Amino acid sequence: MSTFSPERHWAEAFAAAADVRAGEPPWLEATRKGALARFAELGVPARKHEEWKYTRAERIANHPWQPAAAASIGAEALDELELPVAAAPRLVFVNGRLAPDLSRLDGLPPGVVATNAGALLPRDGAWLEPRLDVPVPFTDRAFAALAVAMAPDAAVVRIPRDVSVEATLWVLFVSAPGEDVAASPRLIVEAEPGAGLRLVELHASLGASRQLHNALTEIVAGAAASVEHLRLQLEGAGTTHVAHVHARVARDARYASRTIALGAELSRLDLVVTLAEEGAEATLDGLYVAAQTQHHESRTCVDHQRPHGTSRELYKGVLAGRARGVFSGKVLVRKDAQKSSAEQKNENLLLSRDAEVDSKPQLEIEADDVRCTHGSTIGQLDEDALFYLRARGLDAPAARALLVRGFLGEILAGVEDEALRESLEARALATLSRAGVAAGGAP
Amino acid sequence: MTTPMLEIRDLHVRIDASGTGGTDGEAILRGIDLVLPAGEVHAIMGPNGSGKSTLAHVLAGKPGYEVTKGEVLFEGRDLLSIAPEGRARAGVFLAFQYPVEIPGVGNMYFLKQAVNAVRSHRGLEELDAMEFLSLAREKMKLVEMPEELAKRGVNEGFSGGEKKRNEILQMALLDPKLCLLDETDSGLDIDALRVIAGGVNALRGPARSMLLITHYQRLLDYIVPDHVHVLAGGRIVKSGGKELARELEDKGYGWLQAMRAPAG
Ligand SMILES: Nc1ncnc2c1ncn2[C@@H]1O[C@H](COP(=O)(O)OP(=O)(O)OP(=O)(O)O)[C@@H](O)[C@H]1O
Ligand SMILES: [Mg+2]
Repeated sequence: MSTFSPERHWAEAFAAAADVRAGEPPWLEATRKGALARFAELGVPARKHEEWKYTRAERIANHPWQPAAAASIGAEALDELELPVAAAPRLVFVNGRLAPDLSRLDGLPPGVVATNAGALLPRDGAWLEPRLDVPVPFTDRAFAALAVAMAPDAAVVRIPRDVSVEATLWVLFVSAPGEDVAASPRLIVEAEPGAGLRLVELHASLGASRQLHNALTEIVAGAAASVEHLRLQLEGAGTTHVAHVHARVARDARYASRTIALGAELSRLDLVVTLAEEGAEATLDGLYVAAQTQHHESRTCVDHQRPHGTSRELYKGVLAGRARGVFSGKVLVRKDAQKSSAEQKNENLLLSRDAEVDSKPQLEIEADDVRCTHGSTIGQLDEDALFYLRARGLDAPAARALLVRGFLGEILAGVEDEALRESLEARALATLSRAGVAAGGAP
Repeated sequence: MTTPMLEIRDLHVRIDASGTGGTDGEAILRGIDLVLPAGEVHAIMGPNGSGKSTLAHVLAGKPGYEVTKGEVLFEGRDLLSIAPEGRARAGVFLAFQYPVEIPGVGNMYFLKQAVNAVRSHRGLEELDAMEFLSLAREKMKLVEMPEELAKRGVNEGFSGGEKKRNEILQMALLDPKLCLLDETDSGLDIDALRVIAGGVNALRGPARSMLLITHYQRLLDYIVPDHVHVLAGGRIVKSGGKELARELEDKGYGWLQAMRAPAG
């Protein structure tokens, strides 16, 4: 047994990073200390912990990660990402800190706030205070607590009442190269009642250094607001990506989540959507593509708390090589959530003998007048479909790639930006073709 | 004598279950002999389960069958050693009895891939999006296929008849030499049958041969065959001219099965 203690390690790292927090108000220091204490109290989840049955928390935590220092990257580094962000309004965070020179916010309607928490603290401290603490559904999540303690800053997006933002707003969390570094990217979004926002949250690393990215996102969709949230996990091959995302959906509001996980060596998403008031609506679409020894876990929980809520969920996974996928989807319908409708589907495609997937749907229905369905499939490429394509002249690799594209298509089709959609598809196919499957056939 | 388009010699086939862990099935084709000259249309009729689709599948290269004896020559070359895509590129086309639905794969995109795979094999330049579109439009008119269908996934949600139209559309686009049509007429209403038959007839020519698998004389009223063969119990038990189809319609298959040679 190693004598390394993550709790002690992070307590020391926290103390050593006092200068990063210089100038923060006392309440924030208290929030952080509280979170750090929470992390120590919860400890690194052991394997017998049901939530951590499939991803070993020790594999993530038992490593002397050093908090990422401030770093600057050039504009050309953004081009390296090969994503259509050039013309988009965007906030760029590098190693968890805002890079103002890479960000551009012209064209946003007046009143829209898109900035970093540090800049807001002096004038909007009271608004920020509750939002900078550990989000309620995550008070028992060790890594979320750690992110609150360690995040050097946070991206903040706030859309005023009844304002609809035309353009898609990007928030890019990029990490500079550096071995054994831990970053804590943090995002806080609030769409006030009647507001509308389309958001892309991107996580990417420059290079393939061994890094931990411990991300935390909280989104609030106020009454009758609409938030479309595309979350892209396109991390480098050396990255361990741990993410906690919470969305609170108010009365008659709509939250559309689409998570796409293609990168990282190990990634784990914990997404909780709370339908907190009557008539709230959520869609959860997800795609995870893993090859070689990649490991992706997607945990989702849709919490129907009040009547007339609607949720629809579709998570799809493609696993190749010796990759492992985990889907664990909980649908909770509380006693008070009559006339709720919840639909959940998980579909997995295994492209190799050694790939593995666990699919765990979980329904907890406490109300009696509800409509809930769920289903889960694990399969291989359809032999008859493969033959059909080959009988039309496509060679076997092209036929396989086309079928994989068809499988991915259902989730990717919801990405409206065509250039982005094509880029994501090409990345997914490249990941798989590196593993020797589904090669060729890509346009 | 000129080389026939297709020559099947004493073909024996059984189900090959080795890949699926099952046991190999009994023989399904038990010695098929058939010569299809260039430019001719032959019909194959026969009771359910007699092996008609099996024959079509084996000719197209579908995995899961084992040829235990015999050979197949396509334009004089050994067909069975070629991969399915190689056969398609060389000009063999199977219109499936049960076309497969492939949701998420756009029909047009798939057709373009297929056309270009075949074209580049034949040393022709690949078509760009515009060229392909105008070719596709022209052929869609031939089979009276609504453009809306082309926008869906491959056969996705198509009715039985729409799937069959899509098969003939593919056939027209891929410009094959040997067409194997497996019950293309089943499930078609009278008007659709006329349209499809018109499409098929338009493709008839001295350089193209067709094997029509059907249960119904009606199709053969529209597409008049040069010869009719009866497949029963894995063998061709009778061959004749187009009038044989009518005879079968009147008498059924019983009288033929009675005269089947005892299995060797
Ligand atoms: N994969 C398989 N495994 C086991 N038996 C099979 C398989 N495929 C075909 N068969 C059997 O082989 C025989 C011939 O089937 P085939 O589909 O070729 O008949 P067919 O003449 O086309 O019939 P139909 O007129 O009904 O279309 C049938 O008895 C069928 O059950
Ligand atoms: Mg058949």
